[in-house]
Amino acid sequence: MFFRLALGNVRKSARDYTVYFITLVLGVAVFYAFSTISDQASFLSTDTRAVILVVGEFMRGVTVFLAFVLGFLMVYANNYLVKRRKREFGLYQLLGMTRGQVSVVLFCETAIASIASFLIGLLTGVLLSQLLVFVTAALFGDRVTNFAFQFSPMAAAFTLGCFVLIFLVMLAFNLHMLRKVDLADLMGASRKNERVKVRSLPATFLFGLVGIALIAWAYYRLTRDGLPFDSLDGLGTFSTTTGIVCLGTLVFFYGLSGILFHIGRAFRGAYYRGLNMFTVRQLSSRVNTVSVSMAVISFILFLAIMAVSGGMGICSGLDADVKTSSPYDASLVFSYAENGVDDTRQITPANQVLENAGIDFSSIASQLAYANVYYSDLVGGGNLNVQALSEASGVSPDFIGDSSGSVDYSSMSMCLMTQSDYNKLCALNGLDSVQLGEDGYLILSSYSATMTNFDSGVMAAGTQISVGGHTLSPVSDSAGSGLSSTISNVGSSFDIVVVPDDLVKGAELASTVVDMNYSVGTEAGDAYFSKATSILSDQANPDGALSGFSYGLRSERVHNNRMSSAIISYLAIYIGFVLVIACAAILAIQQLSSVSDAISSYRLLADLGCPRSMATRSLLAQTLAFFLLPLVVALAHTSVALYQLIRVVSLFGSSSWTNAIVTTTIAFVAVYGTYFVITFLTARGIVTTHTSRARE
Amino acid sequence: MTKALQVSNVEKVYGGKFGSATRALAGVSFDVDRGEYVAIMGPSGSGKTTLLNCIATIDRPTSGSVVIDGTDITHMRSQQLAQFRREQLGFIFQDSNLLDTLSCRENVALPLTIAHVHAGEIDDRVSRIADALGVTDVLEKFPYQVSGGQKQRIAACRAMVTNPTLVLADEPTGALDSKNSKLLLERFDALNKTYGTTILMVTHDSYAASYCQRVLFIRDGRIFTELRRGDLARRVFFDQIMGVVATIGGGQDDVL
Repeated sequence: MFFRLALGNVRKSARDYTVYFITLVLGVAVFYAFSTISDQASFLSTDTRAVILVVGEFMRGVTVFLAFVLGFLMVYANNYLVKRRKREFGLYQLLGMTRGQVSVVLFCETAIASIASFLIGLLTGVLLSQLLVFVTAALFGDRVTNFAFQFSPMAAAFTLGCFVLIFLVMLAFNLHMLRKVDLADLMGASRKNERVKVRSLPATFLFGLVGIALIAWAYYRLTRDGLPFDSLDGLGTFSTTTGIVCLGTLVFFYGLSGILFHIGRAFRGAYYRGLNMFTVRQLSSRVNTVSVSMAVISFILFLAIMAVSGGMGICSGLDADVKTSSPYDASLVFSYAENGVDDTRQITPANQVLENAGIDFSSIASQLAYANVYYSDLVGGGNLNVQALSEASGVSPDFIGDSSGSVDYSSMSMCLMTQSDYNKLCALNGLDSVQLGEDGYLILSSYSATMTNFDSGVMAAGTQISVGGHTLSPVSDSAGSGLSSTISNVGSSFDIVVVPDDLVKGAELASTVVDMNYSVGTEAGDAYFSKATSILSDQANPDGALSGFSYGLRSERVHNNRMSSAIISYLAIYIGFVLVIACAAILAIQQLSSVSDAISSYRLLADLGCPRSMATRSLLAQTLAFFLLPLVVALAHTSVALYQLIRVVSLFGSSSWTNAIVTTTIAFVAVYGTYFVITFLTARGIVTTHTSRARE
Repeated sequence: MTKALQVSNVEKVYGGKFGSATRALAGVSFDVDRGEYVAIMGPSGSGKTTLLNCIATIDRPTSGSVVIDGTDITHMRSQQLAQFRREQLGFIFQDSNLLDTLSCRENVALPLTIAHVHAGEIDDRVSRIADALGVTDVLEKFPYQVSGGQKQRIAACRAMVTNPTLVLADEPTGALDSKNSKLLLERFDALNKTYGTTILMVTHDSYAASYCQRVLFIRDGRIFTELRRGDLARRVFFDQIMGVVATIGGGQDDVL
């Protein structure tokens, strides 16, 4: 009997339940789909499989965070529902049902709605996870090898577990509400809801202006101070800035209704036209009531956009990174310690070492280059460093956070390389060789974007340097051109100055680089190379001068980058989208509840002879503004923050952000827009049904 | 000159072809002249609300015709109906039905803005009608800041600001105390006499009906009888109305 009553109630208030359904369905679907990531491994090639298992572990951790967000959402949606029906529950009690019995009805209702949405959500999730296999494959640059329809009982059970937990919390809320609230309050609930909370408009207008001023001040501070990169004092300022922008946003939304109204009134002709007056007043009253949650939503949106675009930006940075940091199939670098006074070290040349060990790289590589790098101190007079070059050229390095940076670049000496060695690397990379002549030089820079800019500036200024008693002039004004600015796959080395061959005489050998491009397949090449390196590490160091050797394989780099890029993009997409869904759902619930509150207004408008199209336009304008306001504020925050972030990231290496941002925006607008469209259509449905029916 | 309202042989049957049909209106006919002030009375279930809805273009009669200002509204399409309602009719409800978020002035201006009346003209017209109904000093307030009686008079302003052919009032005094009822009814009377506003009011309240020039009584979906005030004093007319109400029966039960 109670069950039938509950079933009837759910059916009757299906429209109220719509947003609740949609939110739950989406939540469960996303929840399930992302929990299946580790199970998707079986469809992909073995290489990718291992990576995905790691990703899966990460995701499970994040899912707990998601469960909290989802739980909050469900409780919120549920509160909205129960609030709308308080009177009904009061009536049951008035008719003689005990609180316990009403609780049973409420329990049944919540259970019916939740189970239905859970099942639909799970179904959607299962379908979504099939799609996700292909997305995963694309992310890893892999192909789906043996696709079959899959259902993961583990993931489903995990989802169910979280869901039941949330359901119990929700139930506790509901029962608490029923137990605490007096019958009189329940019956008077609808009357209480109608009371509109309105603050004085001139005061809110002032608040709005103060909010804008605070936000502008915070933007200014952030642009001036930058992000706190490796610095504790910076962190304090940054926290203050964050505090100001939070406060500013809150105050701004608090005063937004006043601003909206005054803007509306400023255009008197337009204000007194059609339903514009109604639209402005309605919106201003809504914003007034929900200003705090709107400010919070705009912050969450800001976080979401930052998470997604930041994540994507890092990924595209990693992609670009493979091209610039690993230009060769494999590199082997022998490093030697610096003696400092004069060169008394006995060094066995690298090719001799390899020959002694029985290693012949020409068996796997047709293109092979040996290049020597020298310490510059003995021949350069200690003048080849940032500080000296800066003084000589008048170009000052633009280090962000330089004074407090962890590494002091300014006194680090640059190294030397001969023109003929450099041309060998150029040939390996398929680049034109350089001609320095008798007295030319060229700086190679791949260390950081800041250093590249500085070096280019130094050469463009025509700065002369002195090496081994010769005065040299720059032959180019760009330090970062061509892949050969990266001399090996191993790490990024500090700046290297290319000089005419005979000037390195007397300079100490710093390292010998062996770069190669395979003539055999990558796997065969890597296998031989690995064997060679293990032979070398077993060998003793005969001369004592060798401080160590290191090596880098491009395939390894690609693999590592792909792994981190996959993890980052998954996390970014996942977190970002969950946050966006949460925000959009809250906005939808608020907007729909405001529309049902205003239903009598729309009925009245119809009675006054307002055409339906006019009412619909007003509704559209209200819904659109309601969704756009927090988004616009979030985008404003994002653009300022991203601008700063890009400046910091360019310190590590330039990366293309545009693609990431465009992709993010499109996906983001799609989800947000879908919610907007659903909200508008539902709201229009509510208005249409209520206005077309005859007045009682 | 055409009559403000001609209702002829209006029938309204609720219920399907298969179920038992309820006849809410069984052939009602009457006319209202321009400038007339008419009340419709009758016990619960007599069909007065149905009749009002049919006249208000909110409901469609099963048969018969409703002609307002020479236009038959029974076969209009909804698009035309909206325009017609906007231009020819004014509504006053039992609960004043003002929009909470709009100020009183804006509430009164609403029908004008919907009809795209020029913005410069709106303030003047609002002030004029507010003056006539004695609510000028509350125009800048919000509905929740004014009393129930003032709200109802604001609603009356909204109904009359467009100069409609016919003002339809559904139990306008239903939610008011006697003092405010009296105030509202006196204003209606004054407006009717000064501007010749045509008012058709549905009411339970014999006191309210006694302000009108004519009272139509309906029972079981038919016009039962009608009373004309003529030159009678309001008190005498009130006693006459009470007499009919007693005859009809049921009405008393409703009143008490």
